[in-house]
Amino acid sequence: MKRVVVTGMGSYTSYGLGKDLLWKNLIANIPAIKEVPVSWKIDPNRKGFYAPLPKLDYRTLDFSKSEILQFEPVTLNALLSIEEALKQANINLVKLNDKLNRYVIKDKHIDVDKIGIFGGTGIGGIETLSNATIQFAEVRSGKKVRLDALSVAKTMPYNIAAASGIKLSLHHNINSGTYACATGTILIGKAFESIKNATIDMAIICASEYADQEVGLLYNSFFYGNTLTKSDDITKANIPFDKNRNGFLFSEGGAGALVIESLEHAKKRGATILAEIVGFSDTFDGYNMVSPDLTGAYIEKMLLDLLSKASVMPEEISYINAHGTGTIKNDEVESLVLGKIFNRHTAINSTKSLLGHSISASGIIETITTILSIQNKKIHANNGLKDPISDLNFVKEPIDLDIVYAISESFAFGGHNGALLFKKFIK
Amino acid sequence: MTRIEITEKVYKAIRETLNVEDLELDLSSRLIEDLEMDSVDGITLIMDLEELYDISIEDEEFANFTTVESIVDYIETLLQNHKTS
Repeated sequence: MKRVVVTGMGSYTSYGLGKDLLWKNLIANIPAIKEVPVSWKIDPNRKGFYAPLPKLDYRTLDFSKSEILQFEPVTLNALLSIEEALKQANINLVKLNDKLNRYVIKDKHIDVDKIGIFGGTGIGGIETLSNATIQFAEVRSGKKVRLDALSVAKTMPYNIAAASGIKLSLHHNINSGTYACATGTILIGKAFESIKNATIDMAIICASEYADQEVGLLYNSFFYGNTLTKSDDITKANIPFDKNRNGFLFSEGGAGALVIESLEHAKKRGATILAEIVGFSDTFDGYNMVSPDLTGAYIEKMLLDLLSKASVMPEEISYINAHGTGTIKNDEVESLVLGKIFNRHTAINSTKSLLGHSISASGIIETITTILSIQNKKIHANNGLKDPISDLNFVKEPIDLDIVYAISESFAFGGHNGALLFKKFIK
Repeated sequence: MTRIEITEKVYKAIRETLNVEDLELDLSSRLIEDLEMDSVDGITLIMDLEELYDISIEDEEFANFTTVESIVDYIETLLQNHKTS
């Protein structure tokens, strides 16, 4: 069994492009929150909040017009995160040739056929699908409209993994997966297992979500699904693990990417090691499409399995980056299970308390946050928390913390639960 | 618009489509064989030319564009017809 380490990370969040901005804002306790656009509102008398994503000019970020036409922002953002992660991992890219905006990995220590791509999204390119629906209706009514010849390719969730493979001229181990809000976490776990079992040497993992549509399709779908915050008070609209919480803060999305590899592979090529991944476990509630099993039985089983496989005791866990959405049921079940397994010294926070819920990208953004916490020996606050739902060690202010072991966990619509165990890298 | 001006605009559109600023081009450059353009690049280029010249080109037309010269000829003819109609 191989040891697996993280050597590169990249992100695009409400704070902007890059993990440095992510960390700087999280640790400064700056919440990403704003009133939703008027065009999203069905009830104009309600305020409604979300975490917006800053807009990017993709032409200035080295994408060709052709790439912008064939990829939705959900994919372009994933590619930008991958670019940042590859750069940190010090992986040498050269242009495929002078005519194509594509690259090849050139490194004598890297066998490109033993690199795996693990790409995913929760929903995919829904803006294209919405536009195509309008275009087809217009054509039927006799209007002369240019139909989007690429609407299938742009909408399919596989677009992210495929675009990554095309961009890097890879020909093997292209994996795509979608596990709703646990997508990022599960993909990291699958990649971790593939390296641990020596199927591949290295993996590039990315998860991305993008939900900016004119009518706020996803926002309203979640809102009328009774999952979003109902508060009209901006200071109380995003308060995971608080007794007064009433739903999650919708995020316009985000993207994250990781480069992970076997320890020997990283050493051979002289990469800087950011942290070690020492465990992954996932379970499935088999209970309800939109509600967690309120007993938390399968979350508990997952966490016990995670610790047991890595031979780590619960009291050794310094920090848990919780799923912590701020919905009544999630926080109730999550705190119930964490209270059963962990002692009151384990520090707990929810990155969603600052960034909202970026759906499929949340798990990978929270993994990056967890690794940055290990590296910087600090953790950010569980923002907005005044009246905690239990006596667990929820962190109300940013604190210094020397972390040896940390867990990041995600739960998803449908009932998928995933958790990763990280360790400070010790030679 | 002169043929030289049309040619320059077509060069610019191809370079932007492929994101290669210093791509060497001449009228005889073949789109698929020399420039490695694919069908997606073709649609991008067509959309770009439509915007540049305020014209409408069918997607299928890309199959008739074999060289840079064939695009320049097509646009020149189209613009002439617009003028005379």
